[in-house]
Amino acid sequence: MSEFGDLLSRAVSEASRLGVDFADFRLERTRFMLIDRRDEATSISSGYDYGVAVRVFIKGSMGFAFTTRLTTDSIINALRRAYSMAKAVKGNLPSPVTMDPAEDYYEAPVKRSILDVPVDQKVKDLLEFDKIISSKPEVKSRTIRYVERVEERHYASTEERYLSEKRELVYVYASVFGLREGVRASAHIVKGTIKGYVVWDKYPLEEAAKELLNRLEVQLRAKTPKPGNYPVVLAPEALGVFVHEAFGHLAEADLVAAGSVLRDKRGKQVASSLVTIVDDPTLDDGFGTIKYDDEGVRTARATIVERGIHKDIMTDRVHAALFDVDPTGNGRAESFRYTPLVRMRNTVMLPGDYSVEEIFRDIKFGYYIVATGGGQTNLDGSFQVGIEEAYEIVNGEIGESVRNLSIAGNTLETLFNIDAVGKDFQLFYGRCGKGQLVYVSDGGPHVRVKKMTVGGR
Amino acid sequence: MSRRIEPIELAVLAVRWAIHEGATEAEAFTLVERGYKVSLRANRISSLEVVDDAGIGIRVAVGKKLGFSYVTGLDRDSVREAVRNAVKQARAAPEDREWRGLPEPSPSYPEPRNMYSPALAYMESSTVLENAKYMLDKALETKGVQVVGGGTGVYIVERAVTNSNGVYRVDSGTMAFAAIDVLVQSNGITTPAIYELSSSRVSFPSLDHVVEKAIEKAKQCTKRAEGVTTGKYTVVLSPGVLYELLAPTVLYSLRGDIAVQGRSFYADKIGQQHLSEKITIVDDGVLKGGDNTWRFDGEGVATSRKVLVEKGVVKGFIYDTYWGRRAGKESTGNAVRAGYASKPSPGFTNIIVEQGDASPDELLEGRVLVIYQVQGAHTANSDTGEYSVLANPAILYENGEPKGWVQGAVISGNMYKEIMNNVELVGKLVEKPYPGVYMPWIRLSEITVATKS
Repeated sequence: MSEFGDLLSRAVSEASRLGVDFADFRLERTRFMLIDRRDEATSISSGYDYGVAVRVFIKGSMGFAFTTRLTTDSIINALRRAYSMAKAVKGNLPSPVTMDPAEDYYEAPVKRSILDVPVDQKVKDLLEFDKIISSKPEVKSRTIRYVERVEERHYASTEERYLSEKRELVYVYASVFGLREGVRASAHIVKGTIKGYVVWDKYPLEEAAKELLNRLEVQLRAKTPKPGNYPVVLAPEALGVFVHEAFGHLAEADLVAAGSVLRDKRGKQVASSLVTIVDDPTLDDGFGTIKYDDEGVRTARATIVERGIHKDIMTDRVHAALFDVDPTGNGRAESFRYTPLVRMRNTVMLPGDYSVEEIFRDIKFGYYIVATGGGQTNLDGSFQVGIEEAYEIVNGEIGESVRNLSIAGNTLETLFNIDAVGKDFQLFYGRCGKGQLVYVSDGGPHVRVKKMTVGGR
Repeated sequence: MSRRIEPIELAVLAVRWAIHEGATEAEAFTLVERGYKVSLRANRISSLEVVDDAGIGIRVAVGKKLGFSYVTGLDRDSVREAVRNAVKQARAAPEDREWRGLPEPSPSYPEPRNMYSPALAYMESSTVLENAKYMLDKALETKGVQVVGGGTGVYIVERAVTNSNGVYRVDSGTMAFAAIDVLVQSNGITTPAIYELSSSRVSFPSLDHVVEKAIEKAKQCTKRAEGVTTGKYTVVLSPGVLYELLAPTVLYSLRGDIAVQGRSFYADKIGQQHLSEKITIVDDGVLKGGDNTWRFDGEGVATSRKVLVEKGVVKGFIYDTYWGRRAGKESTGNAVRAGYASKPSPGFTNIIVEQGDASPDELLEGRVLVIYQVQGAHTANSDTGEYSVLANPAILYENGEPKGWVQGAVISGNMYKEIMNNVELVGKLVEKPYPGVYMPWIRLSEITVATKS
């Protein structure tokens, strides 16, 4: 048990004494640092975020409270408040799936702990990166953010599950604004790791800077596309956003229950037989790589689509009970201030058999979509993904760059239209908002879509 | 148990400790938030929550080197550690040559009205619950309706800020909201989920209104409009869509920090007409009952009302103290914090596009696409104004009559250009689609729409 074992076990016994159907506690401590550079101005921020969340389930209702004081009195007080909230109404939530007692302490391995590297070194590295990107005359403004987090999560429940997990997370965001001969453009990159302070080993400074500057250059030279319907090749970064935003959300159990287009589609074909999509918490170095979720559930891979057939949905304890399936460990919360929701972890499309050259070969005219500015879905199965880096494809070759476009359409239709899946694979890093922000990864190979709506000026 | 120290007293101590640690200037901001929230999800009440959050953010300068640190709770020992961290980080930071100090107290502070209501401050959790239950039941009365999400909540917020220049301010306010996200399943069609929110500082918003509005819009999507082909259309944007498209473009460019960085589209255009003369944009930090109305901003500067765009002419930007001084201007009282965990930076308070004179009939005249919601507005490009978003739903209207949902319509263009050249009409009716956002309906001509057919 962790250093908080006593505190949490006292809280658990009090919950049992109150006579709840199920209760759990999440004690969290996060050390956070941000180095923020906007042009020539640098500032350093840090934070220490701690608190305890309590959930109480009684007769179909869930009460929730949290406290920012780590004392027995405060936690018991929060428990009583959550208890009286839950008792206030007879609800119709299914009882959460429960599990066997367990005890574990897991520390995700790091190569070089961020705590062992002085802040001066981190500032120096960031300034060096900034120096490279600011040396280009067309770069008129830069914003760079280095974020690090040491996350400690201690879980306890009335099932006598005591689980602790610790990990480190680094997230780098860099954006540039460029202006040349009256043409305005901007570009950004995001890099991440959970292996400690190795971000610049994983993505050497010069290469990351080059990638960002190239993205800007492409935008400065770009022309606008013709709106309409075309064959499209999605690169791994753009595919990752599509898989997460356009498809993944529709397979979150709470949204399935709310009427997403995947409802009642289990065992049915929802995509081309070339398509396999998983939400995998075990991938190496993903932002969604966790051993336990925020409901104390051992995480497991959810195979959402296997060769075109819809299999698993992603669940938390309540929705696993509702749909009578095993919980997948997708219950995640931004912090102790929030109740866990069904959230993704590392959502990826698995590689297929095509070489990247083969994917382009037969396209007379289409678009090659490399990087995006994000996207959004609606339960009706419609999606939009905004594009930052894209090119024309002319006679199987990558042609001129295009700007200001988005791809949109119906997600399932689009998945059916995938007629080539590449052998390659890449993983990307980001944060997903669903009322709460959580760190996720997504990715996959290059894929070809026969026909997709491209919106442009 | 020991007496819990008042947040402002702790803030004063934090500033003293920082100076003692070697800071040349220091500021402490405390936030205490208490309330109740009930969430709806998938036709059920999914949680009943007690909110009880508190924390402090400390900003220090050692000469021209800056640091910021925050900590949850208002515990003396951990605040003391946060102060030490802030000073330590400032020492490790490179000098910011542009730093010209924390603000002085403002000469006077406004007394805006309708920020606080005892009825909300002392509202029982059972009332919040009953309201959520009422909304859920009412929505489910209509055949085919699915409640995707939503909820109700009531909060009381206490803010305090103090600094080593003598700023010492305390303020408190209340807020209640009701929101619902619904879709309708009918004739094999699943409509888009439609989100409606209503909020107030002094009373519980009308629940019937929120539910009815959401269902009415969703119902318009149960019939499809065919034959809308890719081309240029006259569109009518809802207040929510207008805001979502302006936020990453026009509003971004009205931020003083963006202007100083040279990224603002309006950086060198003060005094010039660069928006339609039908457009007037105001940031009003003292709006009566405004969702973001406070007596002072996130660094203790008096809030105020500013006309940023007047009849299309760019008048000025919003600033906090730091970016204002870099621009050679005073702070406009727009230092916004996301909470105690964030440093202040320029942000809008209550943002208003002023009403026009067009009636609903005039807005809907002829053949137009009415766009209630868009997906992906956050992917608009702030630096160029370019956007390409899914209109979901877009409803085809002919002579004021809704003809059905145009599925998969992508609208695209450039907000900087269209807000200048394509504004046909601005509606009389102003709505509040999000807290602190006051926008009219607007009619734009010649907007590119790509459809599947």
